[in-house]
This record gives sequence, structure tokens and C-alpha cells, in this order.
Amino acid sequence: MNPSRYSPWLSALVVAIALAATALNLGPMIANLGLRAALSPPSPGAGQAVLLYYSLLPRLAMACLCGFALGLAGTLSQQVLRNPLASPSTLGIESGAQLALAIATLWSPALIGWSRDGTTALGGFAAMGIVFTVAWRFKFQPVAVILTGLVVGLYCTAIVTLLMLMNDHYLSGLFIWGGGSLNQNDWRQAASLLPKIAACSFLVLLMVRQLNILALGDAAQNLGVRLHFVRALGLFIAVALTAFTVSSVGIIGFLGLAAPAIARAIGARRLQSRLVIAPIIGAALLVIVDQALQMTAASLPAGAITALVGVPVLLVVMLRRGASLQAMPSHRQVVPAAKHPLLRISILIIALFAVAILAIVAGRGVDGSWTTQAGAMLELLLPWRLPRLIAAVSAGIMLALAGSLLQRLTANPMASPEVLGVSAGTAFGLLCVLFLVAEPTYGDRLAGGVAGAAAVLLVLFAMGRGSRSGNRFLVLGVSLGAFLTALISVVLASGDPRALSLVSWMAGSTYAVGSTLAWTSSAFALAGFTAVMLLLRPLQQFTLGEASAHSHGVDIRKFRALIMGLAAMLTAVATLIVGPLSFVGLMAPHMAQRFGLIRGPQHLVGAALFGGLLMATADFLGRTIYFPWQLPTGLMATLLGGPVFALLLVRSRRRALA
Amino acid sequence: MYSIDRRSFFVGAIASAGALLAPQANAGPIRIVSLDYGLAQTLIELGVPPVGLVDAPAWADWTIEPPLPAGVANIGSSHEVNMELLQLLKPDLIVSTPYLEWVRSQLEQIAPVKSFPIHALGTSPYKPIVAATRELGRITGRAAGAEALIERTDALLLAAKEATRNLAGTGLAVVSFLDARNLRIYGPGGIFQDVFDRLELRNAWPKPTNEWGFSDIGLADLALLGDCKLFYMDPVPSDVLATLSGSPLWQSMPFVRSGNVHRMASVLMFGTLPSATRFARLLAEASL
Repeated sequence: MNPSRYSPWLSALVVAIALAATALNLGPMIANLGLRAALSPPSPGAGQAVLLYYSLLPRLAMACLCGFALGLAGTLSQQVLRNPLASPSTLGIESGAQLALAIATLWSPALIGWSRDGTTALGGFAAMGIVFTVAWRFKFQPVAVILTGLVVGLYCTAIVTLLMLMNDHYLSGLFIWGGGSLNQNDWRQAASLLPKIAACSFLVLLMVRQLNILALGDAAQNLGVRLHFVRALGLFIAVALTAFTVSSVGIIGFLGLAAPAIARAIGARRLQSRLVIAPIIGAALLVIVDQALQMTAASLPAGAITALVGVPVLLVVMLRRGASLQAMPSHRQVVPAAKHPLLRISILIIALFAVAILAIVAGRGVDGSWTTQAGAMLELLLPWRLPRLIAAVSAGIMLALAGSLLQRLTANPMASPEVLGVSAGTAFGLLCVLFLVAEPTYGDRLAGGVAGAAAVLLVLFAMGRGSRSGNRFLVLGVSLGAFLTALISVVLASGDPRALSLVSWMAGSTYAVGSTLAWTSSAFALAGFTAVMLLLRPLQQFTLGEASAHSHGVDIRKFRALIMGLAAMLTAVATLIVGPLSFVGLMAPHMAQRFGLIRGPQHLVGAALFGGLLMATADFLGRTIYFPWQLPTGLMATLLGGPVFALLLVRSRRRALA
Repeated sequence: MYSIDRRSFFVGAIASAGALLAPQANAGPIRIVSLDYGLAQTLIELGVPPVGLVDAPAWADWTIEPPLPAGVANIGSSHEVNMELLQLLKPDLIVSTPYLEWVRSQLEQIAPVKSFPIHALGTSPYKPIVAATRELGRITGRAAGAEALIERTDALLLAAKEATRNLAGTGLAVVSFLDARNLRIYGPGGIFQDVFDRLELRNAWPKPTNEWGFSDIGLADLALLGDCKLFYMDPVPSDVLATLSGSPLWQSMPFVRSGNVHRMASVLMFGTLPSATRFARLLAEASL
């Protein structure tokens, strides 16, 4: 990696483009009305002047403010967590804010009447509170914070999606907000946001020295800096900046990740320069996107479009300048291995069978009462229970295997199938089918999904060939995933009714699964399991580190491609069944580890069993718990897995301390 | 007009839970499950209310007319119909829209499926709605009832046309607030525009809308309407009206300055003939 010097020209260029876009969009109007119209409140009757002064100019100001705040928040969180993947979205803040808005819309409209901004900020801070409570136990170790943040974020998103599916009439506003809309009616929002962001920026200014020391990692402890305090305060400011922004304009998430990365890639290496350059780039990017959107006269959500523009920029910059991606330090939790692993595996197998049997015989009657069915009645209902159960369990096993593979391969505990972007690719393929085929059958949707997953794989392998580290590969996957997700949220925000059926699939609804698909997926799961078992020995060398693998005669490049391909195939098949949102692939391997199943084959079997168990339970509860509503299995797995995951994390921590 | 007696008979038949599982239930009137609000509206008007409906609890907030008879089973959301419950309801027929075509093979394991394309056909939905009404009448053996419903609708629209003559001069706009800065405006391709056309009223929105007949726009875009009468439809998010009253942008809109902003009760935008007459009647009431 060649250390490039920071050149101010590149960031000046970005700002110049932003100014040019603004001039192009607003210039003619200002020239027409005179500069005075832009600077002083117009009389109420003057249509164009009112539009300029009370809508277009505040909108410009909001774009600057929000872009600045997100750039700053991203830089802060990346510095504190020492991870280029960290961003306000990685901490779960945006999803927390969205959940608060959804809940208030449905059950407490008075809260929104009181203050929409206050409600969303409350949600953002609540999510942060949870992340901090857990992170505190882990002394704000970067990996622990991100892991918790991601889990909290996914959890909140899962609940929001559930609420949307069951109340699609009521929550259309949430789609708009989710896409990030910069529309303004007057100066009130900008005026209330400015002092908040100024105060946060001032605080950051005061703690630059301490933040700089954080880059030294745990060694900083010896320099007498109170590490957790600085980390906590840094993250708190980042969260505050995000919550304020998000509550006024909605989710413009990718900016917080992209702006700091771009700043770093164009040579701003020192914290001081990044703290200035990243916010400026953030502001400029948002202005460019928003002004361009106004000129196209299409009513598209700025936040989602920002991501569409931001991701490719990020990728190009990263690939060309070879941005420094410091590998995430792997903090493996020390969990004692179980003394009787076979006993523990037996417990898991028995649990899986027990849940499966329950899911087959138990259900609700027409009047909603709990019953068990047998005989002819069970035979009648079996087509509605068995295929989806088999498919869900298979998907759980496949995701768990894919997660284990990726986590071993990259030595990164955050690696999960979702991170590869394959699930997002599947979603994109499905979206294309929905819009190209008038009345898509299940076969059409399946074909579209597989094609999308394959396209992402090809791109990943083509781009990743030259990459040296597993982390680089993950960043590519995350970016690709974010790009496709943004594209989907553009469609969602357009209010197109077809998009809702996509949401339903994304939520992991298994209700269209027939017996053919069920058996196919179980065959895939079995084949995948066999393949993984066969690859176990070289995989274990990988767990010890690439150098060790190399010295044991493993052809690293070919082997990595093989494992990546296998993991991606497993993910694609599973994602088509339970949607891209369940994070079983992330959780199941961790659960097996915390359960004391640590070594090679035990761990893989344990992970697969946890994956299957989570899905079987999710299938049963999703079908019965809120009868007659059917809760999608993928989301139920997320909702179930979250607390179990947190419990295991905390428990093993305590045991490790004891 | 359908008779009250007949309706209460059906309600009674459906309400008795025992009848649902009894084998002789199939010998009674045709048991239809509707996966769409609009089709359910027509079925209720024809006197054959569905035995099951998706998202039945929200009917009272969005569709309102005709009232949903008691005892119609809620079969979950249209995105994930409860197949088990559907099976237990033992329907003779499932009526649906092309959006649920992807689960047709599953639904057909339970009962024959009839799908009615109404929206996003590249035309206004009124003709497809009339065709669907006739088809539903034929299937349920109430062809005469369907013709009566169509004639009744024509008569009601004609009456509404007389009643709305004083609106004919000005442009009209119908919107729903998504939040204080974003709203949905209705135009060609939806039933509201069809009613405007039948009543010979002018939609003030000058731009095209999507194939379902609406556009999502920002508040500032309302300036394109010029002076007109603006109707905003229920439900309105609770912070919108308070926020708008403090917005100079809103206050400077010509229709706000001339006091031509009116609240309107909810009308199902993807509804069928009962929605059209409801919309026309609300317009007529607003023009008094």
C-alpha cells in the first residue's frame, strides 16, 4: 500500500461540482427573481419567490447540514471502533429511529403530534442505549460494539417490516421516510437542526487529542487515557448527530459510511483532516444528489438515491487508491469447550425433533383456539404445515453452514451470508421479475432470484480476484448489498403496490413453499453439509491463520474461491426460501460456540442444528402465535434469535470472567 | 336494492360457527373468500358477502361502505394469507387480483380461483370494474343483481353530477397526506379520476400519474395546482395539520389563501362501484 499524500484538489472538486449543480438548478430562478428574493421573506402571494425562499433554499440548507452531520458521525464512529465498516447504520440507530416512528404512527399518534423529531430521536437513543449497555460489559471493544449494533439494527428493522406487512394501509409514510426525503416547507427544521449539529461539532473539536490516541488501540490504556470514557463519549456524539439528522429527514444511511471512506481514500489520513474533509464531502455529495434529483423532476427519495450514487463512488475510490482497510482485530471470546460435546449435540437434536413434531400437529381452529390435529384433519392440513417446516429448517441449516464457512475463512466474527450481498442480489433479481413479468408465477420468481444471486457472485469474484485480504472481500459484499437494498427502497418509496409483495418475501414468508421446493432445499442442505464436512481439515488450518494454512500446503487462492462459492450457493438457495433479512447465518455459529461446541466438526454440527432449531421454532410461532395473521418465518427467526444471542453473549462473558 | 332480510340471513348463517365445519355447509349459498377489498365490496352489494376476507379489521377505517357484515373471518394479510384457516373455511370459490397470481397454485389446492384484473391495465379502471361486477354476478347467480348495481351506480353518479354543478367551474384536487412534507395526489388511472370524468369535473393536477392513478409528491409541488378546491382524505397523520398551519409555503398556496381546503372521509382508492358512488356522494356533500 503506497502512502498517498492528501491533495486538497480532489475534495475541492467535489465541492465545486456541488456548487455547479446548485447553480444549475437554482440559478435561473434566482436570476429571474433577483437576489433579494432569495435573502428576504417574500410576500405571501408571490408564488415563485415563496417556493424559492420557503422550500428550495431550506432544502439546500438541510442537504448541507445533514450531509455534514452524517460525514462527521461516520468519521467519529470509524475512529472510535477502528473499523472502516463502522457507520451510524452499523450501530442500529437509524433502524431504532424508524421503529419508534412506526410504533408511534400505529399506536400513539399523539406522540407524533407532540413531536415527530422527538419521537424518532427517542428511538435512536433507545437503540443506542441497548447497544451501549451490552458494549459496556465488553469495555467498548470495537468488535463487540459493531456486533451488538448490527444485531439491534436488524432486530428493529425486522419489527418495522412486520408492522408494515400487517398495516400496509397505515404506514405508507414510513416508506417515504425510509427513503430519506429532503422536502422542506419552511426554515423551522433547518433552524432547529443547526444549533444541535454545531454543538456536537464543538464537542468533537474539544476531544480531538483523545480521539487520536484511540487509534493506538488497547495500548492507549497505558498512556493514561480513560479508554471507555472516550469511546463512549465519541459514540454518543456520533449517535446524537445521526439521530438528529434521521429524525428530521429520514434514512440517508450510506453517506455516513461513504463520506469518511472517500475522505480517507483521497488521502486524508490524519484524524484532524478527516474530521474536516469527511463532513464537507458528505454535505457536497448530498447536495449534488438532491439538486440533480430536483432537476430531473422525478419524485425520488434523496436518501436512497444517495446510496445508489455513493456506493459506486466508494467502490471505485477504494479499488483505485487501494484504501487502507485495517483488518479488524479478532477478539475471540474465550469460552471453555464443553466436556461432553456429544451430549450437547444430542440435546440439540432432541430439541429440533420436539419442535418439529409440535409444528406439525399443533395449531389453531377457526375460532382461534389452540388445538392439536390428528387423523384425517391432520392429513388435510399437512400440505400447509410440512413443506414450509422442511424448507425453513433446511434454510436454517444452509445459512448456519454458510455463516460458519465465512467466519472461519475471514477470521472475522461479523462475516455472515448477508454480508456477502448475495441475499440482496436475490432480492434484486426478484424485483426485476416483479416488474418485467405481468403475473409472475413462483417459478418466475425463483428464476429471477437465482439469476440475481449469480450476478452478484460473478461481480464479487471478478472484483475480488486481485484482493489480498478477506476483509476487502467483505467490504465489496457489503457495498454491493447496500447498493441493491437502496435500489429496492427507491421502488418501495415510489408507493408501487407490487413492491409490497417484495417486502413480504424479504420478511422471509414461506407460505408459497410447495413440497417440491421443500424437498429440493432439504437435498441442498444435505449436500452442503456433506461438502462442508469434507472440507473440514483445510478449513481448520484456515482458522489458525492464512500463513499456517499455506505452510500446510493449502492452495489459498483456489481454496478461498471454493469456500466462497459454496457459502454463496448455500446462501442463495436459503435466501430464496426465508428472505434476506434473517440473520441466522450470523447467529447460529456464535450460538454453537457459546454453547461450548467449539472444535471443528462439533462446531459445524452445532451451528447447523442451531440454525435448524431457530427456523423450526420460528416456523411454528410465526404460524400460530398471532393467529390468523401469519408472521413470516425469516423475521420470526430474527426476533427469536436476538434475545437468545444476547443471553448467550452475556452468559459466556460471565463464565469467562469467573 | 338488496333486502335487509336476506343480508341478515347470510350473516346469521355465517356467524354460527358450527355451520362452518359441518359437511352440509356446502349445500348452502356459494361460499366465497375474497383476497381483495374491492371485490368484497361488490360481493356484499350483490348480497353474497364473503365468508373470509384479508385484513378484515381495517375495513372500517379504509373502505367503510358498504359496512362489513359481522362474522366475516379475517384470513390475515394479503401478503400472507392464512392457508390453514382458508382450508378450514371450505370455500367454493376464491376471488383475487393478479397480484396474488404467484400463490395461485397453492390457492387452487383449496378451491377454484378467479382473478379479476382491474388496475394497472393502462386504461381507466371503470370499465374493468363494471366487467368484474357482471362476472361476479354471473358466478354467484345474481346477474340481475349485478345489472341493478351498475344501473344504481349510474343513477347515483348522475344525481351527483347534478349536485356538483357549482364545482364544475373550478379545478379539483384530491390528496392524502403521508406526512407534513409528502403527499399522494390522485389522477388518471384511478377511480377518483373516473368519477371526475363522469361528473364532468376538472382535476387540477396537471401532470400524469402512475398506472394506479396516483403520484407521490412534495408539498411544494402543490403550487402547480394554482387556484382550486383541495380535498385531503382521511386518515391524516396527527402532526400534519399543526405543522402546516405554521408553514409559510402552505399558507401561500392559492387554495389555502382562498379558503378552499376541505377534509374528506376515506374512500378506498382501489375500490369498485361502491367506492365510486361513495366518492361522488362525498363530493356532492362538500359542494353544498
